[in-house]
Amino acid sequence: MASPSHTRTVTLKSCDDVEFVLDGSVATLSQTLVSAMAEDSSSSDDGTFTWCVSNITGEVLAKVVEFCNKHADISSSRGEDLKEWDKAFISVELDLLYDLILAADNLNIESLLDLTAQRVADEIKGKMPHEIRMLFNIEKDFTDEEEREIRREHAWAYGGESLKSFL
Amino acid sequence: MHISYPSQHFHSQTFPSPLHHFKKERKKNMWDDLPLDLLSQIFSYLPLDSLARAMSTCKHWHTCAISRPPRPGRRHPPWFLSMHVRSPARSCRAYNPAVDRWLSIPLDFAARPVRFIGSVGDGLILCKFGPGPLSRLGLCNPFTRQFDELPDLVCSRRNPAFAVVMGADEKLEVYVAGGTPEPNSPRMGQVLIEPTVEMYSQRAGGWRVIGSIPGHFATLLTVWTFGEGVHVGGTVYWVTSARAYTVVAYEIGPRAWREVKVPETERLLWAGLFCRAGGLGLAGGTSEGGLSVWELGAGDEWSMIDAAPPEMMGGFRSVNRGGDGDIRCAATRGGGGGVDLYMYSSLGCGIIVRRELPDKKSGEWFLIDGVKMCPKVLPMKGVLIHPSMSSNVCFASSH
Repeated sequence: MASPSHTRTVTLKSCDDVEFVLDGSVATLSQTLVSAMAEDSSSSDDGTFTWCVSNITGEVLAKVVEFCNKHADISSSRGEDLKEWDKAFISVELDLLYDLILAADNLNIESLLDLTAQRVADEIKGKMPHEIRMLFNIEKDFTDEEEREIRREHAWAYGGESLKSFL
Repeated sequence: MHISYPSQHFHSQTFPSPLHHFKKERKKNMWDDLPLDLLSQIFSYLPLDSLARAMSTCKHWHTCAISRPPRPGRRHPPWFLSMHVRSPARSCRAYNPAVDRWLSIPLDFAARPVRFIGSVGDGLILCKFGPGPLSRLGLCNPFTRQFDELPDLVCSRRNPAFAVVMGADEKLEVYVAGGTPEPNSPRMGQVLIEPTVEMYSQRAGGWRVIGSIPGHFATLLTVWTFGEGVHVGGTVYWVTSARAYTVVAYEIGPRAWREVKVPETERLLWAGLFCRAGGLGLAGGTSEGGLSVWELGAGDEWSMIDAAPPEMMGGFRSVNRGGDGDIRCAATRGGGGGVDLYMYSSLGCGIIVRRELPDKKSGEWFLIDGVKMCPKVLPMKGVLIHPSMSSNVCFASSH
């Protein structure tokens, strides 16, 4: 029978064979790991559990583990300090941010998913469509006419016209 | 030693560096290929105007914005949409809380000019058409430009009272009570009043008369209310529109009518009702400029829960002389989890806001500037909504 997850040790293995050993209580931040451990009946008596994440690199997994360690540490996970820590933690390049979102989704870590999504939203906020495309390297697949139509529907979001058409 | 570098221009044009090339390849179709679930997570953090711009970057993002309703857990402050109380319009003025600005939002998707009646659920507005009697209502989302008409009422009426009720199954019910029937044939100078309540049920897909109204209440609802009632726990409440104020209560289940006294009614210059976390709230202002908020408790007893800071009210009164004469209320859940209560009178005047704090007891008070260059004497009707870009909020099953 599997021992309770918080008493076990979990080894996470990245797709490029980098291993991270986590405390069971840290691993419970990941719903994916919680379910996997619950289903695991082959657990050895030494209480270790190994999980391979086939699509996350060691570089990204290191960040994820860093996040989980911080957030599982009850003595440090309080209020403003943790917010500051999160802010510094998530100040990464967009490429890494993209990988972190997918990793947070894959391992189902809600707090990391929220943090990464919020960070991307902050990048989008206040920008014009062409600026967003440039930043995220998105190709415009609308025709000019389609784009004009979409922008016309939401003309209020582009400033300028504000109150002219009223009264 | 002399080292010569190839010119930047030459280099980048002819021999793109392998690293540069790799980065480009890798980045391509990354953000515009993100699974819809994750993209909608990101979008749920965007204020509406940023979302509107984000959705015009590419087709994938556009699809995500219109197909995924906003995550219910995310809390953005509501938008306040308003128009002149009597004249139907082709556009409305919207206060965008994210940037503290008034915008004009067109309503030209409806075949005829509309008047706001009240908000429905999170992001829809119930409206009536034209200046005439109420014979048909419409539902709109001005942000997706969707519009839908409800079937005709059983009885065409002028100046009825009404109330929007969201059933437990998220199905819309609209109650219309009193009003003068149309066409009306006054007898010996006496205006006829339609002494019935009819109800639209989204589930049933039509209107039907569900009961009658005792004469006294029918008169109060027709002549002495602004129209919109507040639904709390199976009862609809309307406050009368002239001093001394009183509240008409209609229990939907047993179809019972009663009158509820208004606290300090002789002192109040204006009074408005609103729905707060499971209870009925009443805001009222005195001629000395005070503004208090009460909550209705057991046995129809009111208890005062808050009062506006006198210095804020002083500032409001000096800017909007006479602007607190005829204030109405609109309320919905706010950005912080409590209820946002907007108290407004005309487009040119500012709005007094009470934002309930998460403890559900105390409130934060502030003012929103009115629309510049707008007359202070045109009374307005305002609704508070949580706007949505998603085209499947409520509409999918409105008939």
